[in-house]
Amino acid sequence: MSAPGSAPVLEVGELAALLNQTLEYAYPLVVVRGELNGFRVSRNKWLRFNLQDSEASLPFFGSVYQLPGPLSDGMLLEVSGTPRLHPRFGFSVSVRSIQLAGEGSIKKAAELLKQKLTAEGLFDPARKRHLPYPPASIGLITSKTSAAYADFTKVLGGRFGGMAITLADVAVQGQAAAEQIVRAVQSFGALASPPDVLVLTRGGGAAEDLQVFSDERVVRAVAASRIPTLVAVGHEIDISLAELAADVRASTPSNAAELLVPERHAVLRELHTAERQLKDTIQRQLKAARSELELAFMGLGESALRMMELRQSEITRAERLLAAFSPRAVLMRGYAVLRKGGRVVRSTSALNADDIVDVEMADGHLSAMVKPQKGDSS
Amino acid sequence: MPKRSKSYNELKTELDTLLDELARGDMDIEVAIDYFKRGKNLLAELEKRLKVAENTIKSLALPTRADDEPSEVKK
Repeated sequence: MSAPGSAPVLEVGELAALLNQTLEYAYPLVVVRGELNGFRVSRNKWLRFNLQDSEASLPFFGSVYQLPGPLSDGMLLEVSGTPRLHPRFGFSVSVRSIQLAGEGSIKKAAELLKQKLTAEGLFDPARKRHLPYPPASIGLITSKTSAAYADFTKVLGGRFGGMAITLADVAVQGQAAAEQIVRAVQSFGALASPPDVLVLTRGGGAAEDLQVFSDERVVRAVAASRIPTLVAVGHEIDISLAELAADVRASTPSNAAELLVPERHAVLRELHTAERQLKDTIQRQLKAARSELELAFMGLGESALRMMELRQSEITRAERLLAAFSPRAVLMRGYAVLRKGGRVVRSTSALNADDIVDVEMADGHLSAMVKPQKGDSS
Repeated sequence: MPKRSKSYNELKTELDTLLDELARGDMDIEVAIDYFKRGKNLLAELEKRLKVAENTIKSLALPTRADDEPSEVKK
């Protein structure tokens, strides 16, 4: 309904919808920089805060999942979002992402987060894992167009070859960076054949550019990675929290490559040393075995000789014993053997007068006739 | 399932272990000779691996949603 020559009369809801359409068309996404004020979290889920400067103060509404870490009033933020007019609660900006702005705010936020995560044990040295050296496969998380990517792959290739590198091309600064890095870490972890190691890297930059490496979501993803992690951010002054959470940190992307793999010429020298060691050891063992065998032979000769001597003396003793029992030896001592009809005569009762007997003596035989002795009745 | 070839690291660890055991000198000579042969093979394989100059690079296609499956794409 409208009156001619005047503004149309709208219902309240109609005006709200119209304004929302206008905002959506004119400002689908805004990035607002301002000082944080009235920050509060409700039901552990929803964020409400204002951003203000000397001219104005505007309300924002979002979720805790968008937090880069603990925040406190007074911090300078850059918040991206969509301006909306809620039919009941009025104007606010629906938050898409939150970034810290200004070195002071970034440092303060990092310090708050560091305290929180230290208390949780995320930086505990006992959690650190060894990286395979060298790894067979690497998951690389960085921007493909960055100097960090070029430096890392160049130094890596110059030192060692034959590795499979899988690149997750992500933004390493700006509003989308944290979410992309987290997704990359999780995606590598979800692969059926995950790489041996994850490398998250970027070159140096201003505090605002590097802040994603101290973003709570990124730090937690690095700490929770099932793949061992190496984080290298090209700056030396402040260590990012992702580096603290990583299993190993490197000072630059090139340093990451140096820590990850040995230099191939050094390895070749090492292999040649191992080859010499292998040859020396087996030669030593063969020599020892040969000596052992020679000693055994010598020992075998002596034993055989001793055994022969023993046998010899046993044989001699047996011969002597045998000789002592020989009938010939008895005959030699002057005895004779009497036989009658080929049988040995053992008693006088077996003989009669005039019997012819054979007498065997040591040097021959003779025949004799039996004569009764005087006084013998037989 | 095809047998996965051992990584450089696994081969080097096997060689180091073998050298340590051989150096103890308390094994039969036949076993020592077997160790020597295996050591020579390991050395040859490790040198062969070192001569591979190139690293292969492929891309990981990140899922657009958190619950999508990631996939690897040849560069």
